[in-house]
Amino acid sequence: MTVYRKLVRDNIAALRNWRVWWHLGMADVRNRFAKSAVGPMWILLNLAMWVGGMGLIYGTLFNQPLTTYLPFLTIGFVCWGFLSQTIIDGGNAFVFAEGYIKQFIYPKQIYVLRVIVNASVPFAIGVAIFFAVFAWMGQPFGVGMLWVLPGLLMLLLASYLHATIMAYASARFRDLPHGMTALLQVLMFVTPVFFTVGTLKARGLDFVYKYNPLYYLIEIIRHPLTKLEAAPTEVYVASGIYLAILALLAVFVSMRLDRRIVYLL
Amino acid sequence: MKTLSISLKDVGVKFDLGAAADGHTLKGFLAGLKSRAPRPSNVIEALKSVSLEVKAGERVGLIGHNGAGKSTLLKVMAGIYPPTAGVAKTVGHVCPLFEFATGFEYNRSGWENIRIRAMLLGMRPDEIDAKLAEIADFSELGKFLDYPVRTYSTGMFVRLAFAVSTSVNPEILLLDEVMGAGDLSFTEKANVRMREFMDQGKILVFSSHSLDLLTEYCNRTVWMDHGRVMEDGPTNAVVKAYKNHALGRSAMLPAA
Repeated sequence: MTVYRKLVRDNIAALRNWRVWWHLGMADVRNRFAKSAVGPMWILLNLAMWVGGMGLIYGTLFNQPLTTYLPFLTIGFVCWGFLSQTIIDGGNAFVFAEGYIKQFIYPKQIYVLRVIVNASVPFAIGVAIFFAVFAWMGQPFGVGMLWVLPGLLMLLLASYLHATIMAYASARFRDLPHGMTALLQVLMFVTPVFFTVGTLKARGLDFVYKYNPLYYLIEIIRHPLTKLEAAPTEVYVASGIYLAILALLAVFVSMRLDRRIVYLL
Repeated sequence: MKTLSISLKDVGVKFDLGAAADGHTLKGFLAGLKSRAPRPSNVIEALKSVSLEVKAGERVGLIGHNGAGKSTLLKVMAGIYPPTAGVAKTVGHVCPLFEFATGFEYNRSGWENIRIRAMLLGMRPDEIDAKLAEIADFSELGKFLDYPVRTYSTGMFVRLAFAVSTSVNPEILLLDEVMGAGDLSFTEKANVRMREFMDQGKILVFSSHSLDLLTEYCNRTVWMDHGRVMEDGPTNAVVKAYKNHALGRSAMLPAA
Protein backbone atom coordinates (compact mmCIF):
# COMPACT_ATOMS: atom_id res chain seq x y z
CA MET A 1 0.00 0.00 0.00
CA THR A 2 2.94 2.33 0.35
CA VAL A 3 3.16 2.50 -3.43
CA TYR A 4 -0.49 3.55 -3.49
CA ARG A 5 0.12 6.24 -0.89
CA LYS A 6 3.12 7.52 -2.81
CA LEU A 7 0.99 7.72 -5.96
CA VAL A 8 -1.73 9.71 -4.20
CA ARG A 9 0.91 12.01 -2.75
CA ASP A 10 2.65 12.42 -6.12
CA ASN A 11 -0.61 13.19 -7.92
CA ILE A 12 -1.54 15.84 -5.37
CA ALA A 13 1.97 17.32 -5.42
CA ALA A 14 1.88 17.41 -9.22
CA LEU A 15 -1.47 19.21 -9.26
CA ARG A 16 -0.22 21.75 -6.73
CA ASN A 17 2.81 22.50 -8.89
CA TRP A 18 0.48 23.68 -11.63
CA ARG A 19 2.85 26.42 -12.67
CA VAL A 20 5.43 23.91 -13.83
CA TRP A 21 3.21 21.81 -16.07
CA TRP A 22 1.24 24.80 -17.24
CA HIS A 23 4.46 26.44 -18.34
CA LEU A 24 5.83 23.30 -19.99
CA GLY A 25 2.55 22.61 -21.79
CA MET A 26 2.11 26.16 -23.06
CA ALA A 27 5.73 26.23 -24.17
CA ASP A 28 5.02 23.03 -26.16
CA VAL A 29 2.18 24.80 -27.94
CA ARG A 30 4.35 27.79 -28.78
CA ASN A 31 7.11 25.48 -29.88
CA ARG A 32 4.79 23.60 -32.23
CA PHE A 33 4.09 26.75 -34.14
CA ALA A 34 7.53 28.31 -33.89
CA LYS A 35 8.78 29.72 -37.19
CA SER A 36 5.44 29.02 -38.83
CA ALA A 37 4.08 32.03 -40.62
CA VAL A 38 0.47 31.18 -39.89
CA GLY A 39 1.17 30.03 -36.31
CA PRO A 40 -1.69 28.85 -34.12
CA MET A 41 -4.07 29.91 -36.89
CA TRP A 42 -3.27 26.48 -38.29
CA ILE A 43 -5.59 25.03 -35.68
CA LEU A 44 -8.37 27.10 -37.22
CA LEU A 45 -7.39 26.35 -40.81
CA ASN A 46 -7.06 22.65 -40.14
CA LEU A 47 -10.49 22.55 -38.57
CA ALA A 48 -12.03 24.67 -41.31
CA MET A 49 -10.67 22.35 -44.02
CA TRP A 50 -11.86 19.21 -42.31
CA VAL A 51 -15.25 20.49 -41.37
CA GLY A 52 -15.75 22.26 -44.67
CA GLY A 53 -14.74 19.26 -46.76
CA MET A 54 -16.32 16.54 -44.66
CA GLY A 55 -19.40 18.66 -43.97
CA LEU A 56 -20.21 19.08 -47.63
CA ILE A 57 -19.53 15.47 -48.60
CA TYR A 58 -21.09 13.66 -45.66
CA GLY A 59 -23.88 16.19 -45.27
CA THR A 60 -24.94 15.51 -48.86
CA LEU A 61 -24.29 11.79 -48.56
CA PHE A 62 -26.53 11.42 -45.52
CA ASN A 63 -29.03 14.11 -46.52
CA GLN A 64 -28.22 16.21 -43.45
CA PRO A 65 -29.24 19.87 -43.32
CA LEU A 66 -25.97 21.79 -43.07
CA THR A 67 -27.39 24.17 -40.47
CA THR A 68 -27.39 21.40 -37.86
CA TYR A 69 -24.81 19.08 -39.39
CA LEU A 70 -21.90 21.54 -39.53
CA PRO A 71 -22.03 22.46 -35.81
CA PHE A 72 -22.45 18.76 -34.96
CA LEU A 73 -19.43 17.84 -37.04
CA THR A 74 -17.31 20.71 -35.67
CA ILE A 75 -17.76 19.94 -32.00
CA GLY A 76 -17.48 16.19 -32.54
CA PHE A 77 -14.25 16.62 -34.43
CA VAL A 78 -12.83 18.97 -31.81
CA CYS A 79 -13.63 16.50 -28.99
CA TRP A 80 -12.16 13.66 -31.01
CA GLY A 81 -8.97 15.65 -31.57
CA PHE A 82 -8.61 16.23 -27.85
CA LEU A 83 -9.21 12.58 -26.98
CA SER A 84 -6.80 11.23 -29.56
CA GLN A 85 -4.07 13.81 -28.95
CA THR A 86 -4.03 13.15 -25.21
CA ILE A 87 -3.92 9.39 -25.78
CA ILE A 88 -1.08 9.48 -28.31
CA ASP A 89 1.00 12.23 -26.67
CA GLY A 90 0.34 10.62 -23.30
CA GLY A 91 2.25 7.61 -24.58
CA ASN A 92 5.32 9.77 -25.06
CA ALA A 93 4.93 11.77 -21.85
CA PHE A 94 7.58 9.89 -19.87
CA VAL A 95 9.71 8.78 -22.80
CA PHE A 96 10.25 12.36 -23.98
CA ALA A 97 10.82 13.59 -20.42
CA GLU A 98 13.62 11.09 -19.79
CA GLY A 99 16.23 13.83 -19.38
CA TYR A 100 14.11 15.49 -16.72
CA ILE A 101 12.97 12.35 -14.93
CA LYS A 102 16.55 11.15 -14.52
CA GLN A 103 17.82 14.33 -12.97
CA PHE A 104 15.01 16.24 -11.28
CA ILE A 105 12.83 15.00 -8.49
CA TYR A 106 9.42 16.32 -9.46
CA PRO A 107 6.55 13.84 -9.40
CA LYS A 108 6.35 12.29 -12.87
CA GLN A 109 2.67 13.23 -13.17
CA ILE A 110 3.62 16.75 -14.19
CA TYR A 111 4.69 15.34 -17.56
CA VAL A 112 1.23 13.81 -18.00
CA LEU A 113 -0.45 17.09 -17.07
CA ARG A 114 1.81 18.87 -19.53
CA VAL A 115 0.30 16.75 -22.30
CA ILE A 116 -3.21 17.70 -21.18
CA VAL A 117 -2.32 21.42 -21.24
CA ASN A 118 -0.77 21.05 -24.66
CA ALA A 119 -3.94 19.44 -26.05
CA SER A 120 -6.28 21.83 -24.26
CA VAL A 121 -5.22 24.83 -26.31
CA PRO A 122 -6.43 23.49 -29.69
CA PHE A 123 -9.48 22.14 -27.87
CA ALA A 124 -10.37 25.55 -26.44
CA ILE A 125 -9.84 27.20 -29.83
CA GLY A 126 -11.98 24.48 -31.39
CA VAL A 127 -14.84 25.09 -28.96
CA ALA A 128 -14.70 28.81 -29.75
CA ILE A 129 -14.88 27.96 -33.44
CA PHE A 130 -17.86 25.72 -32.75
CA PHE A 131 -19.70 28.70 -31.24
CA ALA A 132 -18.88 30.75 -34.30
CA VAL A 133 -20.17 28.04 -36.65
CA PHE A 134 -23.24 27.58 -34.48
CA ALA A 135 -24.05 31.29 -34.67
CA TRP A 136 -23.26 31.44 -38.38
CA MET A 137 -25.71 28.63 -39.06
CA GLY A 138 -28.37 30.63 -37.23
CA GLN A 139 -28.80 28.11 -34.43
CA PRO A 140 -30.30 29.31 -31.14
CA PHE A 141 -28.13 29.70 -28.03
CA GLY A 142 -29.54 28.89 -24.58
CA VAL A 143 -28.86 28.35 -20.89
CA GLY A 144 -29.08 24.60 -21.44
CA MET A 145 -25.60 24.80 -22.95
CA LEU A 146 -24.25 25.05 -19.41
CA TRP A 147 -24.80 21.30 -19.14
CA VAL A 148 -21.52 21.14 -20.99
CA LEU A 149 -19.65 21.90 -17.75
CA PRO A 150 -20.07 18.51 -16.03
CA GLY A 151 -19.26 16.99 -19.42
CA LEU A 152 -16.04 18.97 -19.67
CA LEU A 153 -15.00 17.82 -16.22
CA MET A 154 -15.59 14.18 -17.16
CA LEU A 155 -13.75 14.59 -20.47
CA LEU A 156 -10.73 16.15 -18.75
CA LEU A 157 -10.65 13.42 -16.13
CA ALA A 158 -10.93 10.71 -18.77
CA SER A 159 -8.08 12.26 -20.74
CA TYR A 160 -5.87 12.49 -17.65
CA LEU A 161 -6.52 8.81 -16.98
CA HIS A 162 -5.97 7.87 -20.64
CA ALA A 163 -2.69 9.78 -20.71
CA THR A 164 -1.57 8.32 -17.37
CA ILE A 165 -2.19 4.75 -18.53
CA MET A 166 -0.47 5.42 -21.83
CA ALA A 167 2.51 7.16 -20.21
CA TYR A 168 3.27 4.27 -17.87
CA ALA A 169 2.44 1.44 -20.24
CA SER A 170 4.36 2.97 -23.17
CA ALA A 171 7.53 3.32 -21.13
CA ARG A 172 7.35 -0.46 -20.83
CA PHE A 173 5.99 -1.25 -24.31
CA ARG A 174 7.34 1.23 -26.79
CA ASP A 175 5.09 -0.08 -29.55
CA LEU A 176 2.01 1.18 -27.79
CA PRO A 177 1.92 4.78 -29.11
CA HIS A 178 2.35 3.49 -32.67
CA GLY A 179 -0.39 0.92 -32.19
CA MET A 180 -2.75 3.47 -30.68
CA THR A 181 -2.13 5.91 -33.53
CA ALA A 182 -3.19 3.24 -36.02
CA LEU A 183 -6.14 2.14 -33.89
CA LEU A 184 -7.44 5.67 -33.36
CA GLN A 185 -7.42 6.34 -37.10
CA VAL A 186 -9.82 3.46 -37.54
CA LEU A 187 -11.83 4.33 -34.44
CA MET A 188 -12.47 7.82 -35.77
CA PHE A 189 -14.60 6.36 -38.51
CA VAL A 190 -16.54 3.98 -36.29
CA THR A 191 -17.27 6.58 -33.63
CA PRO A 192 -20.16 8.90 -34.43
CA VAL A 193 -18.04 11.91 -35.31
CA PHE A 194 -19.09 12.13 -38.95
CA PHE A 195 -22.25 10.04 -38.70
CA THR A 196 -25.17 11.06 -36.59
CA VAL A 197 -26.71 8.48 -34.32
CA GLY A 198 -29.88 8.69 -36.39
CA THR A 199 -28.02 7.74 -39.57
CA LEU A 200 -26.45 4.72 -37.89
CA LYS A 201 -29.73 3.57 -36.33
CA ALA A 202 -31.50 3.76 -39.66
CA ARG A 203 -28.93 1.37 -41.12
CA GLY A 204 -28.99 -1.04 -38.19
CA LEU A 205 -25.47 -0.10 -37.10
CA ASP A 206 -26.33 0.75 -33.48
CA PHE A 207 -23.47 -1.35 -32.15
CA VAL A 208 -21.00 1.12 -33.62
CA TYR A 209 -21.73 3.63 -30.90
CA LYS A 210 -23.50 1.58 -28.22
CA TYR A 211 -20.37 -0.22 -27.09
CA ASN A 212 -17.99 2.63 -27.84
CA PRO A 213 -16.96 4.53 -24.69
CA LEU A 214 -15.45 7.36 -26.73
CA TYR A 215 -18.89 8.05 -28.21
CA TYR A 216 -20.27 8.75 -24.73
CA LEU A 217 -17.35 11.03 -23.85
CA ILE A 218 -18.04 13.07 -26.99
CA GLU A 219 -21.79 13.07 -26.43
CA ILE A 220 -21.54 14.61 -22.92
CA ILE A 221 -20.06 17.67 -24.63
CA ARG A 222 -21.85 17.63 -27.96
CA HIS A 223 -25.39 17.04 -26.78
CA PRO A 224 -25.64 20.04 -24.40
CA LEU A 225 -23.96 22.33 -26.89
CA THR A 226 -26.06 21.41 -29.91
CA LYS A 227 -29.39 20.54 -28.26
CA LEU A 228 -29.25 23.04 -25.33
CA GLU A 229 -30.16 20.39 -22.76
CA ALA A 230 -28.52 17.71 -20.61
CA ALA A 231 -27.49 14.58 -22.47
CA PRO A 232 -29.69 11.49 -21.85
CA THR A 233 -29.08 9.88 -18.47
CA GLU A 234 -27.64 6.71 -19.98
CA VAL A 235 -24.89 8.77 -21.62
CA TYR A 236 -23.77 10.04 -18.21
CA VAL A 237 -24.08 6.59 -16.67
CA ALA A 238 -21.99 5.02 -19.43
CA SER A 239 -19.35 7.76 -19.13
CA GLY A 240 -19.27 7.30 -15.36
CA ILE A 241 -18.79 3.53 -15.66
CA TYR A 242 -16.05 4.04 -18.22
CA LEU A 243 -14.30 6.56 -15.94
CA ALA A 244 -14.42 4.10 -13.05
CA ILE A 245 -12.88 1.36 -15.21
CA LEU A 246 -10.20 3.77 -16.45
CA ALA A 247 -9.40 4.85 -12.89
CA LEU A 248 -8.95 1.25 -11.78
CA LEU A 249 -6.75 0.52 -14.77
CA ALA A 250 -4.69 3.67 -14.18
CA VAL A 251 -4.13 2.75 -10.52
CA PHE A 252 -3.19 -0.79 -11.52
CA VAL A 253 -0.75 0.23 -14.24
CA SER A 254 0.90 2.99 -12.25
CA MET A 255 1.22 0.85 -9.12
CA ARG A 256 2.87 -1.87 -11.14
CA LEU A 257 5.26 0.44 -12.93
CA ASP A 258 5.81 3.58 -10.84
CA ARG A 259 9.02 2.42 -9.20
CA ARG A 260 10.34 0.92 -12.42
CA ILE A 261 9.80 3.85 -14.79
CA VAL A 262 13.20 5.42 -14.28
CA TYR A 263 14.87 2.07 -14.97
CA LEU A 264 12.81 1.51 -18.12
CA LEU A 265 13.69 4.82 -19.75
CA MET B 1 10.90 21.85 12.47
CA LYS B 2 11.96 18.86 10.47
CA THR B 3 15.46 17.51 10.88
CA LEU B 4 17.25 17.06 7.62
CA SER B 5 18.59 13.58 7.09
CA ILE B 6 19.40 10.88 4.58
CA SER B 7 18.91 7.33 5.71
CA LEU B 8 19.66 4.23 3.66
CA LYS B 9 19.10 0.72 5.01
CA ASP B 10 20.36 -2.30 3.08
CA VAL B 11 19.77 -0.48 -0.17
CA GLY B 12 20.28 -2.45 -3.36
CA VAL B 13 19.82 -1.31 -6.94
CA LYS B 14 19.65 -3.73 -9.85
CA PHE B 15 19.54 -2.69 -13.47
CA ASP B 16 17.84 -5.28 -15.61
CA LEU B 17 19.49 -4.77 -18.97
CA GLY B 18 17.68 -7.80 -20.36
CA ALA B 19 14.31 -6.13 -19.84
CA ALA B 20 15.65 -2.96 -21.35
CA ALA B 21 16.90 -4.83 -24.41
CA ASP B 22 14.08 -7.07 -25.58
CA GLY B 23 11.51 -6.74 -22.85
CA HIS B 24 10.59 -3.42 -24.35
CA THR B 25 9.11 -4.89 -27.45
CA LEU B 26 5.72 -6.49 -27.50
CA LYS B 27 7.24 -9.42 -29.37
CA GLY B 28 9.82 -10.00 -26.66
CA PHE B 29 7.16 -9.73 -23.98
CA LEU B 30 4.82 -12.19 -25.69
CA ALA B 31 7.68 -14.61 -26.33
CA GLY B 32 8.47 -14.35 -22.63
CA LEU B 33 4.88 -15.23 -21.75
CA LYS B 34 4.80 -18.23 -24.03
CA SER B 35 8.03 -19.86 -23.04
CA ARG B 36 8.19 -20.59 -19.36
CA ALA B 37 11.96 -20.64 -19.43
CA PRO B 38 13.41 -17.65 -17.58
CA ARG B 39 14.76 -14.96 -19.83
CA PRO B 40 18.52 -14.88 -19.99
CA SER B 41 19.24 -12.51 -17.16
CA ASN B 42 21.51 -9.58 -17.71
CA VAL B 43 21.26 -7.96 -14.33
CA ILE B 44 23.79 -5.50 -13.02
CA GLU B 45 23.88 -4.87 -9.32
CA ALA B 46 24.87 -1.24 -9.06
CA LEU B 47 24.43 -1.15 -5.28
CA LYS B 48 24.57 -4.03 -2.83
CA SER B 49 23.13 -3.64 0.68
CA VAL B 50 24.37 -0.14 1.29
CA SER B 51 23.53 1.31 4.71
CA LEU B 52 24.30 4.96 5.44
CA GLU B 53 23.03 7.65 7.78
CA VAL B 54 23.75 11.28 6.98
CA LYS B 55 22.67 13.92 9.49
CA ALA B 56 22.20 17.68 9.24
CA GLY B 57 25.48 19.54 9.01
CA GLU B 58 27.46 16.64 7.59
CA ARG B 59 29.59 16.93 4.49
CA VAL B 60 30.14 13.55 3.00
CA GLY B 61 32.49 12.69 0.17
CA LEU B 62 32.17 9.69 -2.13
CA ILE B 63 35.20 8.10 -3.72
CA GLY B 64 35.70 5.02 -5.82
CA HIS B 65 36.56 3.91 -9.32
CA ASN B 66 34.32 4.53 -12.30
CA GLY B 67 31.35 2.22 -12.04
CA ALA B 68 31.73 1.78 -8.29
CA GLY B 69 28.17 3.01 -7.73
CA LYS B 70 28.77 6.61 -6.68
CA SER B 71 26.37 8.16 -9.16
CA THR B 72 23.72 5.54 -8.53
CA LEU B 73 24.02 6.12 -4.79
CA LEU B 74 23.51 9.86 -5.27
CA LYS B 75 20.44 9.23 -7.41
CA VAL B 76 18.99 6.95 -4.75
CA MET B 77 19.57 9.67 -2.15
CA ALA B 78 17.82 12.17 -4.43
CA GLY B 79 14.81 9.88 -4.78
CA ILE B 80 15.31 9.48 -8.52
CA TYR B 81 16.13 5.77 -8.36
CA PRO B 82 13.77 3.91 -6.05
CA PRO B 83 15.89 1.15 -4.48
CA THR B 84 15.09 -2.35 -5.72
CA ALA B 85 15.92 -3.67 -2.23
CA GLY B 86 16.01 -2.05 1.18
CA VAL B 87 14.70 1.33 2.25
CA ALA B 88 15.87 4.84 1.38
CA LYS B 89 14.50 7.93 3.07
CA THR B 90 15.55 11.53 2.51
CA VAL B 91 14.07 14.38 4.53
CA GLY B 92 14.59 17.88 3.15
CA HIS B 93 14.55 19.73 -0.14
CA VAL B 94 17.08 18.09 -2.41
CA CYS B 95 19.04 20.01 -4.98
CA PRO B 96 20.62 17.55 -7.40
CA LEU B 97 23.55 18.53 -9.60
CA PHE B 98 24.04 15.46 -11.70
CA GLU B 99 24.12 15.86 -15.42
CA PHE B 100 24.61 19.08 -17.23
CA ALA B 101 24.23 17.66 -20.69
CA THR B 102 20.61 16.42 -20.61
CA GLY B 103 17.23 17.83 -19.78
CA PHE B 104 17.06 20.68 -22.24
CA GLU B 105 14.34 21.79 -24.63
CA TYR B 106 16.50 21.99 -27.69
CA ASN B 107 14.26 24.16 -29.83
CA ARG B 108 13.77 26.81 -27.20
CA SER B 109 15.90 29.75 -26.28
CA GLY B 110 18.43 29.88 -23.49
CA TRP B 111 16.10 32.15 -21.51
CA GLU B 112 13.28 29.68 -21.79
CA ASN B 113 15.54 26.83 -20.70
CA ILE B 114 16.71 28.81 -17.68
CA ARG B 115 13.08 29.21 -16.67
CA ILE B 116 12.18 25.56 -17.14
CA ARG B 117 15.26 24.30 -15.34
CA ALA B 118 14.76 26.69 -12.46
CA MET B 119 11.15 25.56 -12.13
CA LEU B 120 12.16 21.92 -12.12
CA LEU B 121 14.65 22.70 -9.37
CA GLY B 122 11.77 24.04 -7.31
CA MET B 123 12.08 27.80 -7.76
CA ARG B 124 8.94 29.92 -7.71
CA PRO B 125 8.24 32.20 -10.70
CA ASP B 126 8.88 35.37 -8.67
CA GLU B 127 12.21 33.95 -7.46
CA ILE B 128 13.10 33.14 -11.05
CA ASP B 129 12.26 36.67 -12.18
CA ALA B 130 14.39 38.05 -9.38
CA LYS B 131 17.37 35.87 -10.24
CA LEU B 132 17.07 35.78 -14.02
CA ALA B 133 19.46 38.64 -14.72
CA GLU B 134 22.05 37.29 -12.31
CA ILE B 135 21.86 33.79 -13.80
CA ALA B 136 22.18 35.16 -17.33
CA ASP B 137 25.08 37.31 -16.27
CA PHE B 138 26.92 34.43 -14.64
CA SER B 139 26.44 32.16 -17.65
CA GLU B 140 28.24 34.77 -19.81
CA LEU B 141 26.16 33.55 -22.74
CA GLY B 142 25.06 37.06 -23.67
CA LYS B 143 23.15 37.19 -26.92
CA PHE B 144 23.32 33.41 -27.27
CA LEU B 145 20.55 33.25 -24.68
CA ASP B 146 18.19 34.43 -27.40
CA TYR B 147 19.08 31.48 -29.61
CA PRO B 148 17.61 27.99 -29.40
CA VAL B 149 19.90 25.84 -27.28
CA ARG B 150 20.34 23.27 -30.05
CA THR B 151 22.89 25.70 -31.44
CA TYR B 152 24.95 25.50 -28.23
CA SER B 153 28.25 23.78 -27.74
CA THR B 154 28.75 21.35 -24.85
CA GLY B 155 30.58 24.00 -22.87
CA MET B 156 27.67 26.39 -23.28
CA PHE B 157 25.21 23.77 -22.02
CA VAL B 158 27.34 23.31 -18.95
CA ARG B 159 27.50 27.04 -18.31
CA LEU B 160 23.76 27.42 -18.60
CA ALA B 161 22.89 24.44 -16.41
CA PHE B 162 25.54 25.28 -13.85
CA ALA B 163 24.41 28.90 -13.57
CA VAL B 164 20.82 27.85 -12.94
CA SER B 165 21.52 24.98 -10.59
CA THR B 166 23.82 26.95 -8.33
CA SER B 167 21.31 29.78 -7.97
CA VAL B 168 18.84 27.80 -5.85
CA ASN B 169 19.02 27.69 -2.06
CA PRO B 170 19.78 24.08 -1.34
CA GLU B 171 18.96 22.19 1.86
CA ILE B 172 20.46 18.93 0.75
CA LEU B 173 22.99 19.28 -1.98
CA LEU B 174 23.88 16.18 -3.97
CA LEU B 175 26.71 16.73 -6.34
CA ASP B 176 28.13 14.36 -8.89
CA GLU B 177 31.39 15.90 -9.87
CA VAL B 178 32.28 12.90 -11.97
CA MET B 179 29.29 13.50 -14.24
CA GLY B 180 29.03 17.24 -14.44
CA ALA B 181 31.12 19.53 -12.40
CA GLY B 182 34.27 17.88 -13.68
CA ASP B 183 33.88 20.07 -16.73
CA LEU B 184 33.67 23.05 -14.48
CA SER B 185 37.23 23.49 -13.54
CA PHE B 186 37.11 25.72 -16.63
CA THR B 187 37.06 29.01 -14.82
CA GLU B 188 38.14 30.38 -11.51
CA LYS B 189 34.76 32.07 -11.34
CA ALA B 190 32.93 28.76 -11.46
CA ASN B 191 35.14 27.41 -8.71
CA VAL B 192 34.38 30.35 -6.46
CA ARG B 193 30.67 30.02 -7.07
CA MET B 194 30.77 26.29 -6.48
CA ARG B 195 32.44 26.82 -3.14
CA GLU B 196 29.87 29.41 -2.07
CA PHE B 197 27.13 27.09 -3.15
CA MET B 198 28.53 24.10 -1.30
CA ASP B 199 28.84 26.21 1.82
CA GLN B 200 25.10 26.87 1.74
CA GLY B 201 24.00 23.24 1.72
CA LYS B 202 22.99 21.98 5.14
CA ILE B 203 23.84 18.50 3.99
CA LEU B 204 26.35 17.93 1.26
CA VAL B 205 27.10 14.64 -0.47
CA PHE B 206 29.75 15.02 -3.08
CA SER B 207 31.35 12.49 -5.38
CA SER B 208 34.75 13.35 -6.71
CA HIS B 209 37.96 11.93 -8.04
CA SER B 210 39.84 14.84 -6.56
CA LEU B 211 41.15 13.71 -3.19
CA ASP B 212 42.26 17.28 -2.43
CA LEU B 213 38.74 18.63 -2.85
CA LEU B 214 37.37 15.89 -0.63
CA THR B 215 39.91 16.56 2.09
CA GLU B 216 39.09 20.23 1.93
CA TYR B 217 35.29 19.94 1.99
CA CYS B 218 34.25 16.73 3.65
CA ASN B 219 34.71 15.68 7.23
CA ARG B 220 33.47 12.23 6.33
CA THR B 221 34.12 10.11 3.28
CA VAL B 222 32.59 6.91 1.94
CA TRP B 223 34.65 4.70 -0.31
CA MET B 224 32.56 2.69 -2.75
CA ASP B 225 33.71 -0.32 -4.72
CA HIS B 226 31.60 -2.63 -6.91
CA GLY B 227 28.41 -1.28 -5.39
CA ARG B 228 29.47 -1.83 -1.79
CA VAL B 229 30.67 0.47 0.94
CA MET B 230 34.34 -0.40 1.51
CA GLU B 231 35.00 2.15 4.22
CA ASP B 232 33.05 4.95 5.87
CA GLY B 233 34.75 7.32 8.27
CA PRO B 234 36.82 10.47 8.69
CA THR B 235 38.05 11.71 5.32
CA ASN B 236 41.76 11.50 6.11
CA ALA B 237 41.61 7.87 7.17
CA VAL B 238 39.40 6.76 4.27
CA VAL B 239 41.41 8.66 1.67
CA LYS B 240 44.58 7.05 3.03
CA ALA B 241 43.09 3.57 2.86
CA TYR B 242 41.83 4.26 -0.67
CA LYS B 243 45.26 5.48 -1.78
CA ASN B 244 46.96 2.42 -0.32
CA HIS B 245 44.48 0.17 -2.06
CA ALA B 246 44.96 1.95 -5.39
CA LEU B 247 48.75 1.81 -4.99
CA GLY B 248 48.61 -1.84 -4.05
CA ARG B 249 46.62 -2.61 -7.16
CA SER B 250 48.92 -0.77 -9.50
CA ALA B 251 51.94 -2.35 -7.81
CA MET B 252 50.48 -5.78 -8.46
CA LEU B 253 49.75 -5.12 -12.11
CA PRO B 254 53.26 -5.60 -13.57
CA ALA B 255 53.60 -8.90 -11.74
CA ALA B 256 50.33 -10.23 -13.14
